[in-house]
Amino acid sequence: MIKAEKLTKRFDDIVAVDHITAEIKEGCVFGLIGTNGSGKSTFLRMASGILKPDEGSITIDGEEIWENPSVKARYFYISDDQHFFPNSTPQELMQFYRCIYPAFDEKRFYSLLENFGLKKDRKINTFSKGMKKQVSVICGICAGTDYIFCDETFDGLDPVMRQTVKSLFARDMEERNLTPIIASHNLRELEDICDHVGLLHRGGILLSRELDDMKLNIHKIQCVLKPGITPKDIVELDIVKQEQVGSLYTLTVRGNQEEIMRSMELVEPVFYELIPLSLEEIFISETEVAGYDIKALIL
Amino acid sequence: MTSKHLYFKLLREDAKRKLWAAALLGLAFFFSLPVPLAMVLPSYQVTEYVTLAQIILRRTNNVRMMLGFNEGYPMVVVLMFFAAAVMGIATFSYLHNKKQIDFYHSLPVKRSLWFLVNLSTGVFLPAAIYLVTIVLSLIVGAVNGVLPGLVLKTAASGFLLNMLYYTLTYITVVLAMMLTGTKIAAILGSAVFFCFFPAVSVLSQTYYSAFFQTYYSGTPDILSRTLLKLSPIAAIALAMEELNPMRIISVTAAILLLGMFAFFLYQKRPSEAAGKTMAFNTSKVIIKVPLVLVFGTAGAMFFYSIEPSLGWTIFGNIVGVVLSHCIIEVIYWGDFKKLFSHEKTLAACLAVSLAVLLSFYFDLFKFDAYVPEESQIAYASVDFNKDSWVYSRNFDREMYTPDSILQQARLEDSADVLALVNEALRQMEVEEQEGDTGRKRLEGEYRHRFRMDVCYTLKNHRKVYRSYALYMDPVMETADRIYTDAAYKQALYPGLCLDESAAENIVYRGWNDNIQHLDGSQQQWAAVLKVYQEEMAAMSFSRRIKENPFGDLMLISTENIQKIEELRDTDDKEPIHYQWGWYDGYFYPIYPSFVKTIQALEDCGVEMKELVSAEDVEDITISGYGPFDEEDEEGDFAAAEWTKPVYEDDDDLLCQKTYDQIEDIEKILSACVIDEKGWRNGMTGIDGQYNLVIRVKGKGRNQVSGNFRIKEVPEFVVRDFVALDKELREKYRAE
Repeated sequence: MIKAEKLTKRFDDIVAVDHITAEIKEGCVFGLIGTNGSGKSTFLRMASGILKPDEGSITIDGEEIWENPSVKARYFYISDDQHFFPNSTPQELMQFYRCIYPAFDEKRFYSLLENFGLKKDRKINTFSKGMKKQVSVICGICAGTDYIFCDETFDGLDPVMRQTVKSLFARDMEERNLTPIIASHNLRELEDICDHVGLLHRGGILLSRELDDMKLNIHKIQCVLKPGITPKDIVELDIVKQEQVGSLYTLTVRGNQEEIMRSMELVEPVFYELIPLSLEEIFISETEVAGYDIKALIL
Repeated sequence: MTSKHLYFKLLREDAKRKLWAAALLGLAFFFSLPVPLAMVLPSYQVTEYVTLAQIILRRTNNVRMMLGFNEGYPMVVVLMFFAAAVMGIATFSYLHNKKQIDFYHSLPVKRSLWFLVNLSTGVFLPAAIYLVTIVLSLIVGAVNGVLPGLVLKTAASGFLLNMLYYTLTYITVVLAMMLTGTKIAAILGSAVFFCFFPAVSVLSQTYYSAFFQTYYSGTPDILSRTLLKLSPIAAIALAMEELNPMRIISVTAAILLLGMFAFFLYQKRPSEAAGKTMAFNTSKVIIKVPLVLVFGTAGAMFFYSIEPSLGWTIFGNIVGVVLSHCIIEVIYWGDFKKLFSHEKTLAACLAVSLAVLLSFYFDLFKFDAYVPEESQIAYASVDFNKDSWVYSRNFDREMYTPDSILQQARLEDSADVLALVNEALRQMEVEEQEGDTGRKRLEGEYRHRFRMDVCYTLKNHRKVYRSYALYMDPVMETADRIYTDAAYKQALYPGLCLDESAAENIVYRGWNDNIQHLDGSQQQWAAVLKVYQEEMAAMSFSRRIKENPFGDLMLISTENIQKIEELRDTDDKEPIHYQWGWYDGYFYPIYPSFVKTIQALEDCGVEMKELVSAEDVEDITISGYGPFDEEDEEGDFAAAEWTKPVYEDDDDLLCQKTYDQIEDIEKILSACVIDEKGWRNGMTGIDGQYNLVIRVKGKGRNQVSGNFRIKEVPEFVVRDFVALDKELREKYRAE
């Protein structure tokens, strides 16, 4: 488990990460959401041992990460703008990583390169942005580490590649309990992969919740009520948000599904239907309650 | 995987990344050593005058020179210097790039290991290339008959020394990389490290010599001497001049210290410093303030050198401080609008540099007026600077150090020295208070101007050095007392300390460098030596004013001859006493009043005669630039007019006349000093306005040069030249 306690980092007068406390459990995909400048990369760079925290701590299974090679050997960091040796090929890069990560799976590396259609002896500086990210992900997967930190890695990947990478992660999660931590400002990208999400804003963590928990406890209802009945009349319905187009109401309500349906039945609506919410809609609802205009933050 | 194991793996990987550097270095070394050797060595060919053995010897010496660490072939040293700078930047350039630093520091490798790996690559890679080049050079030498065994020791020491100084330069640049966050800043930082301390040393000496009339330029001030050496460039230059175990030890210690400091900085350096000018905020002030102060003081000196007024000097100081402060702030911030940031620091620097300047300008600490109390002085020494030839490659004292006499000549009774110093201070005061009038008055009253260097060794072991310019005329007796002091004379002239075993080395050198060996027995030669030593010991300044030497006597120990012969080119078959560069400091002047010496030499069969008498002279051509009449005010004004481009070149202003009448020649000869021997006296005041070329009748060298003694220019010559000068002025005015 990666644990951050009151983690803080300042760059001159700017507080990039402000007393963040968070836990990242093994075996789940952790999504780090936030706009540009929210502190995602800084958090990941501290988790990768690149930056030293000014206050607080960040540990893996209780051991400090900073200047601790045995702990650092447990993760692989993929930066948003990864460095490659000048004029190097994927093969040369692999040879370098093999020195550093003893468990590096060379055979799998070549196999994945082939699957992705990348030549092992072609210079990486001739690859496109997406292809370079593919090389980084392949290196990360084959390094055999417990964690993989991806900073906006999915940006630049086409939808097919994105799905391929997600399936790779899923396979390694199942086989060897890999824990990916993915930072992104794109909620839609992470929706179908993340188990746990943390929302960062201006260096602080706004919320950190299991995605299933969030989905179980918030629902969208589209309904048409009998004349004279309004949503206010529906008792025990915790309405977060209400919209009306003619006689059609769209309600975002908090609570579990059975309770909501029971409440709806009581008012004998003309029609009602529960619709699944997207991650984006969940966040908007949750953060609007907290008083933040999420649209301004993440769109 | 152990750290050691990982170290070698990472070293190998890093070396792969630096192949471009290896290729560049290889090329540079290749064209610096094996190729020049391959070109030069075969050019020595056997001829009827040069044997094969001599050729091989010459080739061997050549290989030694090029593979060794010496001034003879500085190419490798220069190459190593630039290689160190390039490698220093290349090996740690990742620290200045965010992408690269994220890459390296996210890997499970300790920072200390990264530092060690990169540092090692920067040293081992050039060492390997250099070693290969040396092997190639040895092969080239072997092909040309040079046995590798004969040059191996030199090659090995050359390799080690070059790598030592390479490492010193390299680690200095690495330090600059640690302190900065961009390559430009690192290059500037390296330049600061290379030049700052020597610049401070030179600047301090410049200030002393510019503002203090009595500053002695050879003052062995520990601070300035140490500062001068605090730079890899200075260390290399000093090592090539003279290498000793102390220097090697201190360089090694410096490398270790700098290396440890660089390592410490690497550990402390934040990754986010990549891309910023300076990696540590604390270092900004530490580096900026001294730089600003130096530029301020340098600015003051620059303007002072053009216009030595207080106003312009202060202006230069302000300009230096403000400009340097602003430029450094712009570099730190990367923003032009920040040039006047930290205005308090600017104000403080301005105040400090002005205080330093004014303390020098007004001599607030009374440097010039300082004279210790007689009771404070343990002993004193004086150098009258009238015998500079004695220092010329003299192996009895350290070569090339004119302050040797101040170190060796001790006068226990310092009263005479203080008397001279007080007279010097009196004359200085006259000049200061009366200005030009005072200067001219002194010039009119006295003739013999000395530059006198003094060293007081105080009872607290402190040494104080001063240098005074004074007319010695009013205190000539006092100067004579010092000059004729036996211990002082022997310290000044080592030849006076030789025993009779050195007598066999005596030769006489007359005019035209004509050498004569002494006939007779060892006893007679010993008698020459003894009598010369006595007469030279008794020689005084008062007598030297009136006489000029006409010949020299070589006084040297057999031991020193052996030392010299070991060092000079042994291929040269000419007799040793023709090697002026090596032996000149051992030829002692013989004055006309040394009658016993002259007699003793004549008894040994030596013929001594004056170079020229009037009968020997064909003619004398005198030349010079006007005005020639001191009262000629119009001449001074007219001389200013010569700034107009009326004439084609300076020769148009030259007044020249040839005298061939024997009466004129006699008068001229009696008033002049011939250069060849006259300069050995140094006491004869020379009138530099007139230059004489005396053509001698007969074979051999047919002309000698000379000057008139000061204030002894014959009247008819002055008349002739005043007229000539007037004629020229009229001519160009008309044009």
